[in-house]
Amino acid sequence: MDIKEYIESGILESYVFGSATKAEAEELLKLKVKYPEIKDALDQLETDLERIAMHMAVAPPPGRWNKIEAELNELVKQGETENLKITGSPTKEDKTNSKGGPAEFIQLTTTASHIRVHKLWRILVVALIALGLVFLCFAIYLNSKNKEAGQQIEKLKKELKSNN
Amino acid sequence: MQTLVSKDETINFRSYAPLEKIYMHYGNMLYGYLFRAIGDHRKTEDYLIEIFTSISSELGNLDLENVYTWSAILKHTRKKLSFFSTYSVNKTNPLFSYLSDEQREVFFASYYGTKTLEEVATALNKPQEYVRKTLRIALATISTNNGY
Repeated sequence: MDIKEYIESGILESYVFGSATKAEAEELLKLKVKYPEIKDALDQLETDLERIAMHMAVAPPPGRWNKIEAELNELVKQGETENLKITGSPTKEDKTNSKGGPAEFIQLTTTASHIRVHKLWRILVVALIALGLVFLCFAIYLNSKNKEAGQQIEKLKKELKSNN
Repeated sequence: MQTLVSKDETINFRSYAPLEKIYMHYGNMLYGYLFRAIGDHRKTEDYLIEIFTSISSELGNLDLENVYTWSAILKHTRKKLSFFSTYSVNKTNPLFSYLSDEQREVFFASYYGTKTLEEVATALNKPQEYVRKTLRIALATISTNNGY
């Protein structure tokens, strides 16, 4: 394989920018392990890309990190961070902790006024309300039809009487 | 109300120090990247917060020492912001003054991920191999002329 030609083809740049195809990316990752020249070229490219970003950097307004932290805490409160991988520690489902021993659970008292329910409940509640509305409409329709029929019977009775 | 939480998880969720380090290093870069495309500080801030709050859950641990960290953040950002259009991206910067119009077009389309390589090639009416090489030359030109 001509390594120089491969590097100069621009495939590395495409990979770094995420525009390489899956097959091209897989091939590159394999070649990177096999050929140090490719790894070096890729590392250099990544470094250059970071330098470009540094040149175009703009400082965000102060206090943004606090907002990010507050947002993360909010997500924890909502119980939506079960898959967070900050440290890669075991999840609730794991029977053992990172030290290999049985997981230890502690009880925390929270001041939160909301309870956590499975997302499925939301769908079920919406479906029940929708179903309820359908039944209500159907009942109103039947009721009006019933009234209509009653009125027709009354009308027919009157007609029969007048004919007699 | 009482909730059962494992000790490991409690420490896990409350420890944002690794992410804070990433923010301190890459926050300015990401803000600059976003602002160049959005052009509005308030919206840029919103996206910055959104991206950093989703990094942990979607990318896992990021390592400051790893040369691939910035491109991983960039790829994650592009996925989140599919509305970008290279036409609205501010392309003026002395950094790109050495690029030809074609090189600039290819670079920004790739950097902001608005088009696939195939789409860029079709728009320019050039083969994909040519566009790839143009991108390579564009990056090499930026690096050489800015002393990288």
